[in-house]
Amino acid sequence: MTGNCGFLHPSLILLVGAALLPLIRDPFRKPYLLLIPILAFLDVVFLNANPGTYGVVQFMGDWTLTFGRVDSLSSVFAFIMALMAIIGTLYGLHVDDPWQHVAAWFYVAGSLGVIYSGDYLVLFLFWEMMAFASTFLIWFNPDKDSLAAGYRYLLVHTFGGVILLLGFVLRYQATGDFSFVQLSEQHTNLSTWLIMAGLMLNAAVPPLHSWLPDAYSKATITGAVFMCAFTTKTAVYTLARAFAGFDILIYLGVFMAIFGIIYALKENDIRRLLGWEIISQVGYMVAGVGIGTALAINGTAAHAFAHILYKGLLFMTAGAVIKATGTSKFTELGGLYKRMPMTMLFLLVGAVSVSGFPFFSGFVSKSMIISAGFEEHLPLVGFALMMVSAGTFLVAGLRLPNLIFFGDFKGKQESYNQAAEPTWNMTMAMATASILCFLFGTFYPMLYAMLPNAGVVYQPYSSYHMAETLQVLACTALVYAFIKDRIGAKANTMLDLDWVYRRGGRGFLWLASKPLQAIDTAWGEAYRVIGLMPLMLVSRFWAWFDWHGIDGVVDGTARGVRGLGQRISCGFQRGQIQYSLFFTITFAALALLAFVWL
Amino acid sequence: MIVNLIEFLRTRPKLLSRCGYGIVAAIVIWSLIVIDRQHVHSLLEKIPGFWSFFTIISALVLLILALAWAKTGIETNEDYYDR
Repeated sequence: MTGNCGFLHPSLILLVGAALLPLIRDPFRKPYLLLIPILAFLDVVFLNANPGTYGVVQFMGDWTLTFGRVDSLSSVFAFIMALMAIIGTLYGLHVDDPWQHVAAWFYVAGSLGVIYSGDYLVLFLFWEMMAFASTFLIWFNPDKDSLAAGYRYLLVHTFGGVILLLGFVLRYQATGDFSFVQLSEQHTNLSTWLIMAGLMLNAAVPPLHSWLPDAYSKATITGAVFMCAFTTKTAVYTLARAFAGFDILIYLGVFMAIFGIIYALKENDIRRLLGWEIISQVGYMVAGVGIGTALAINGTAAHAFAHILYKGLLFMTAGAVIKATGTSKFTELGGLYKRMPMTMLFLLVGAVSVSGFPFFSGFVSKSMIISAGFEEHLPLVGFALMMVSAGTFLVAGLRLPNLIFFGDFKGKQESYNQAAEPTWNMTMAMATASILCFLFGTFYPMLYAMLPNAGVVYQPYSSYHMAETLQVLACTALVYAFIKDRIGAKANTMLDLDWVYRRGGRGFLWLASKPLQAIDTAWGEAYRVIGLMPLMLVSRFWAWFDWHGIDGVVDGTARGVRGLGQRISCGFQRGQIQYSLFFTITFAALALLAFVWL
Repeated sequence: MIVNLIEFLRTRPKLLSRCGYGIVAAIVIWSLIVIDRQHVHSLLEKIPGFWSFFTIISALVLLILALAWAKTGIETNEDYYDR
């Protein structure tokens, strides 16, 4: 990067690290795997200590790209993303396939790139990098459903990307400006709403949310740990950057907070339940962005920070259970406390953190957003979010641990017998996240010192707030004791808006394969008989003449080229579209990087 | 250690439920007696034990919403998309 001495983009560390990773062999592989995210994290810490605008490059004459806008809002998000990259990589350290780590690092690099970007072009570049890289985290799962789930995820995100692109190109046409800054709520037009919709799709705001539980329940075990942290919270950052104070986000946020809980109450898949829980928790953040006051934005940043840690922890424990038992269904789990007591302990730490128990991270972050709602004279918002607090404890604090670890094991006996604590690195990662959940909840000034608006004073540990929280928790537990059979494990699922494209897709397929295909076949046949056959005869003669006559006479170049082409196509064209996509995207990304940085 | 504690409590469901009720009662009584309600956000919160009522009603409302939503035909077999 030119022009700014001493600026090294943390994404660049991850990208170069990822490019070299397949070449690194044991015994250096594991240290290297930890080294790269730690270097990126240190780089983020260094940048955060030196705020400013870095990495400004001229692009194609009159456009200015900004790769490094380091200010109070981007700092806190970049910090937690880089920290989560270390924990996630530690959790996946036992995975031998280097490409899974490459995809994860590309994904984190995309997230950090979005967070530090200062204009829509750079944002869009890294936004798409995130979408494509995370798709591979789904495809690497050998499950039969994962390939289709990956395609659905990719298509939905490509759609969102196109909406975003439309939005900022329209805005550029009107204002001549690509800079990614706060938009005005008074002067909205089509471009504002398109940009908002594009960003909201990644934040899983209804009605653009169905991809989340669908994809996260089909990803690899380590992939889901990464995915639960980065996509939605990066989108929350972008919303906070451009749409703080937009009233519509308050209502959408409250709606998604309630909606997520309702689905999570009935879900039978661990990671689908946690996915719905993400939607519910991100609802708090979206509402916080909509409220838009200094306290609300601080609350949004704090909650995103806390959420990444405890949700990462919950996905890690879920992964440990799935890895140990081979199933993710509550109807095939239960009573695992004897086999996996450590995992249970970590899951409980995550569960009490998300439920907002005093001394755990959710307590000090969630309440900021609720207080901001009451202070802005939006009592209904405050009460609705308190209701969701009760629901969160019901779902993640009581239903989830109860169905996995207590009661009787409902699956096959052999999967109970084979269930055991996970590998050391997974345990270490869960322990680290657990300790951080406790640290940031108890020694909260550490977290508050990083928040974007420095002047705001907030005290979470007042006696009234303690009494309020403890009453909510105690009475929720009381209610659960009476209703737990009504939300027990059932081998059912809840339909959602993805029905439209999953079933609607079949209709399209039928249309394409039956009537349209018939027309196409008839047309093709007519063309072949009338047009193609005479043409082929003539050209076959000339090809023969060229190959045997001309090339033979000259120097045999054509034969050489054909041989090379065949060898390349054996390597790169395997007939599986995801590999073709992978090579194409990697090549495009490398070409773009070379163009920008060289 | 954790396993032993859970085993101990599992064999004594009466003790477990009594402990549970005891903790809930202690929290509610503590909030009724000790807490200063002068600086609350809204008038409703001045009602003693407001958050206890609020939580019980909220949890039931969420449950009823979930069950009612599931009943409309939204809840279906897990292999719905495989068929």
